[in-house]
Amino acid sequence: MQPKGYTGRILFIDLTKQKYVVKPLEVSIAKQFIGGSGLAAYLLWNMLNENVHPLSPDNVLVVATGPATGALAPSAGRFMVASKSPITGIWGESHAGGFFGPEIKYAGYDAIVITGRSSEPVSLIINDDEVTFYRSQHLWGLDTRTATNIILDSLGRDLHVMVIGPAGENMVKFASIMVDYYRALGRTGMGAVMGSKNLKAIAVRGSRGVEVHNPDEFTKVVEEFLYINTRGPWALPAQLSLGKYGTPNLVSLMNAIGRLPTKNHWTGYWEHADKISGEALLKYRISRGSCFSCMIMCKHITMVGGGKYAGTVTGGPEYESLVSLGSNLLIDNAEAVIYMNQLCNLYGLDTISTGKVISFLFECYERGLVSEEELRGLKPTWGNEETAIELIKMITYRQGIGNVLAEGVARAARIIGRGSEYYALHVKGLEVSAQDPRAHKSVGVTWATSVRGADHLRSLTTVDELGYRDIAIERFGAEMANEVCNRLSEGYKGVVVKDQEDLFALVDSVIMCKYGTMWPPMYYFDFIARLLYPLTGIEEFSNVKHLREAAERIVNLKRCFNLREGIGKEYETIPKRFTSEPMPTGPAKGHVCNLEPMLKEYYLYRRWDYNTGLPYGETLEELGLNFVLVELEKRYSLPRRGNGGSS
Amino acid sequence: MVLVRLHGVIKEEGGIGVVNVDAKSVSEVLHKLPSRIKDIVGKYIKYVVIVVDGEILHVNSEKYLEGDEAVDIFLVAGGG
Amino acid sequence: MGLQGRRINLDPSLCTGCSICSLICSFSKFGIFSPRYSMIRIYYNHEFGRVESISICRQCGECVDRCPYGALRWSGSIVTVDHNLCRGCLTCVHTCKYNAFSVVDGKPYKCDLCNGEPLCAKYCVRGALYAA
Repeated sequence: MQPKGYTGRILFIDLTKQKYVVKPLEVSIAKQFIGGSGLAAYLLWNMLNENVHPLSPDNVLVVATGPATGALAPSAGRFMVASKSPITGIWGESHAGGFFGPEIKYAGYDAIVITGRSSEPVSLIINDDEVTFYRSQHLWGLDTRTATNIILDSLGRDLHVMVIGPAGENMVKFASIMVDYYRALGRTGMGAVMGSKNLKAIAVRGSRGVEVHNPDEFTKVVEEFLYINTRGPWALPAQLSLGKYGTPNLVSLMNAIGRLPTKNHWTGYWEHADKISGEALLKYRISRGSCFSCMIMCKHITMVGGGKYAGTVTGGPEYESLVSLGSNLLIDNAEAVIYMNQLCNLYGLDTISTGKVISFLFECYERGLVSEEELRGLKPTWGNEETAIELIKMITYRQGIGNVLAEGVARAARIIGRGSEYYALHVKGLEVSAQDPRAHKSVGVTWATSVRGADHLRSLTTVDELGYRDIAIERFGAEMANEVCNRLSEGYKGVVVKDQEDLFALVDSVIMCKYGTMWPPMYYFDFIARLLYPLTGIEEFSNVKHLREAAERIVNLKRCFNLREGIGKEYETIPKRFTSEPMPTGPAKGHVCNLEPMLKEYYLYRRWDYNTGLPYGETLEELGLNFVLVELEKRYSLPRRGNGGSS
Repeated sequence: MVLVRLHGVIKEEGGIGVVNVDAKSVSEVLHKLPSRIKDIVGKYIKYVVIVVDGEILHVNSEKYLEGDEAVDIFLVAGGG
Repeated sequence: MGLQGRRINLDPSLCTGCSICSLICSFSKFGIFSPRYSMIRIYYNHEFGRVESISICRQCGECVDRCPYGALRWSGSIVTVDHNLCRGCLTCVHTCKYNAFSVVDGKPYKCDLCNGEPLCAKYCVRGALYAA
């Protein structure tokens, strides 16, 4: 029986031949890998190998939805893209909300798989079963807003569009893809992959809908969704903090716990944080918006009405962007930060990586590691908003030192040399996100083990962030609860991060939002089971054990993807700044992150061998990943639990 | 005197961001807030987060405050 | 309270464009999630974050007068479609000034206020939609 929820169809597009074909989504694959991130991992494992260069025509870009996408379920507007990342060379994925994902489902596809390279700029226009290779020379070079508007005006306002800007076209290694104007597929350079394929945009319109296996049972899920968001224990704070102020609300709170990255992550406390806080930004807000099917509604549109940056209209800025372009650069002018956020959105740059390559340059300059000759008159001093704005343009168009920074902080440091590597804050080549492992210890193991590099969205835990005892007891038991809740202790953080990584793997495959799962912690495995079975009719999905196993399967597959690329345990570490430089100021003063014990515990619970950094053969067998085992054994001798190794 | 900083809706509804309170513990601080602020904090008491020098303290905490600390009062939030 | 004179109204200053109204509408009427099947459709401008327009029945009754087969009729103050009488000529759809009908399998569908408890309003957590 064909499950519901899914469309059961995957669209394969070859840009080189300008041909497309629809193939079925096999039910057994849906059962094992759910959809979204899991489905993309399965497809990319099979379609790629270690010899494929990320910016070559052989790389594959997967645009995937999950079974919940397009339904009335918590934040079910989300979708994801995955590919081999040009910035890290390993697993790359990025998720966005907005309204594009549901439209893919309504057009009749669970996923779109794009291969090859067009000989000239092209966009894909998808109207249900009809796929048009739309010549796009006239869109090439345009910013994301203009390109979006031209597509909508010429082809229909009811289309939804994802598009790259000049940064993607110029293959800046951390170029983003913008969706419905302001939703960003930000991280891991997915925009550069589109640029390398000469693919400017994808626009979709669908006339169908998402069908449900058991409408009566699903009605109960929908009612529970409404209840949780209006009368549940987290409903009020979700509305009054996250909803009302959006993610900028976090700035003051993170500063109060000493976790606000400041001055290229030199410290975690900034005395001017209130200038870029949620409250400070409220006065620039012109609209409170939301993504598709979301009751939290944290997406806001901001406008600067007067002064130097008058006329700026942009989505956000979100917490990550405020930190990256604000406190991280010591820029305390909120209007400048909003403007920089707009520039990044228009050019199609990831705000996180952009801010971190700029702060890297600022610190190199302060320490005399870059020469005036390399800078050609630029003054990269802390708090210098003009220079930061200039650098965003130089990165986008690969001019001067911008061409070096456009390679990402890891490569830039290798080019600059002179010990600058120490100040290049990345894991596996991806710039660090807006946390600090010295002030929130679990972040260390989150960053170190994240499959896409230093990143909060694969496994950032919030149970310890402010210490939610009830949740800790529920998930880990009363004995562990105190230690789990202490963000300044390394205790049990390996297991907590492993649990969160599994939850997020599932959330990223269903697909739901991190808001509602990461914070507030409203939905856990049990809710997802109650959601997926009446939606799809796949009986296994009603079983939390099956879902946890599927989540582990997905995490393992993505980690093995990186192993195939030669990226193993020696890369699962964090920058020395966080392990050996005690936090200099603020509430977490004196702390460093002691990574190893957490990492060891993580490996233990992941059922991977800590010594070799490889999965036990049995782990892959138990998860039904024999096809992965066979391929990995061509290059590694996988340890067996029976014959030694730590267990 | 303890410096109390109010954030988010608590600040907005109370119309004031900072108050000084003569108190020796968090529980005393909350007790001695100006009545209008006290009512607002009371309304959200289940969702209030108190941070003192990076440490999250319970609303009933009797931990001794020296007097040079800042007490931050938030409505709970989280994430990254 | 009766349904006399009631219809769905939108306060655009509260709407965030989340589409939940359209989803619950299509789901309750057709058991499927599809904003294009919905009898309430809000056109939201995502660039500036504002409502451009809304398609929803104002219960004006013009379609009742124009239907050649008597399939559209007043039930109290609500206009309903009798699909046994409807022959799918879609005169009502073309007549409607408010673009309020959705057409599914060749037949017209329109807002009937869900028998007194409009689900779109119930699920609008911002309170942007209300029956009055």
